[in-house]
Amino acid sequence: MSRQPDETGQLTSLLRALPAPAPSAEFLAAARRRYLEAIEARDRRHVLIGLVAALVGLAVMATLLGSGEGPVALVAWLAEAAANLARWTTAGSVVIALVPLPVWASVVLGSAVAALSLVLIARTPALRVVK
Amino acid sequence: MAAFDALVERFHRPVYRFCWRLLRSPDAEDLAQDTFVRAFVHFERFDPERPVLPWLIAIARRLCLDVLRRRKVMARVETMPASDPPAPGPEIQAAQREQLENLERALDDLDEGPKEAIVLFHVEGMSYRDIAAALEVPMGTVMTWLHRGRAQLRNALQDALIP
Repeated sequence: MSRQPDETGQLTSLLRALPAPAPSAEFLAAARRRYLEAIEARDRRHVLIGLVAALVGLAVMATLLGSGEGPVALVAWLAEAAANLARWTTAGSVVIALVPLPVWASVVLGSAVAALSLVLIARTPALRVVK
Repeated sequence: MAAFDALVERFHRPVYRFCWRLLRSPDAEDLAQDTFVRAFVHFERFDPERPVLPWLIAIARRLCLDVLRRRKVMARVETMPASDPPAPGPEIQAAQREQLENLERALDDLDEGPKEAIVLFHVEGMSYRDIAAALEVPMGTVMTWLHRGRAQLRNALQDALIP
């Protein structure tokens, strides 16, 4: 009845008796150094992203000022872009709704098979020319 | 920085042991350190309702599996000396030493899942729930892995005893 827990306990004792190296004495210092490096790298990345964003903003402003059209033209352009996007989305959904499901399924399946075939061909080792 | 130090101080041994059991190479120390760095850099992902160790083990495990995948050695890395073996005193019997060597070999031969579950349960004393969280699998899978791992270890030990 108590064989199972005994065996488990015995296994635990044996596993705990297995020799395992201890981490080195410099573990904490090395981990701390790497943590500081990671934090610095993250801060540098944030600064870089901020700089890029600022540069992009400056470029947009310069383009707007250079074109001499002002913010009204920008708003008009944005509105037109949004309208175009909405039109294309609607058209896409109409096409999706019109084509029956089996056709979509066969298209997806066919594409997957084609892609898989290409992957398998790419992974096949090059054939040697037999003389 | 004090919080980082405290976390490392408290958990570096189990995290390191876990990495070492998976990798069996000096990379274990690097990866254990990386585990703490990642944990702290992404500390916002930590759920304070959950215990810390399974979260650290989950990070360590992902790092170790990445290394193993890179090496393309999933099953077994050439063994390196585990540590300086204890001086053979009169209390250490040859049979016991042999049993431990067999057990170590058998543990290395286990699949990843059962090995991780066995180490976390028997060596680190973690609960099923915490192991499931650390290994990111359901608790039933942990139980299956433990059952399978124990059976394999038991068989290996019996085979070693019966010539």
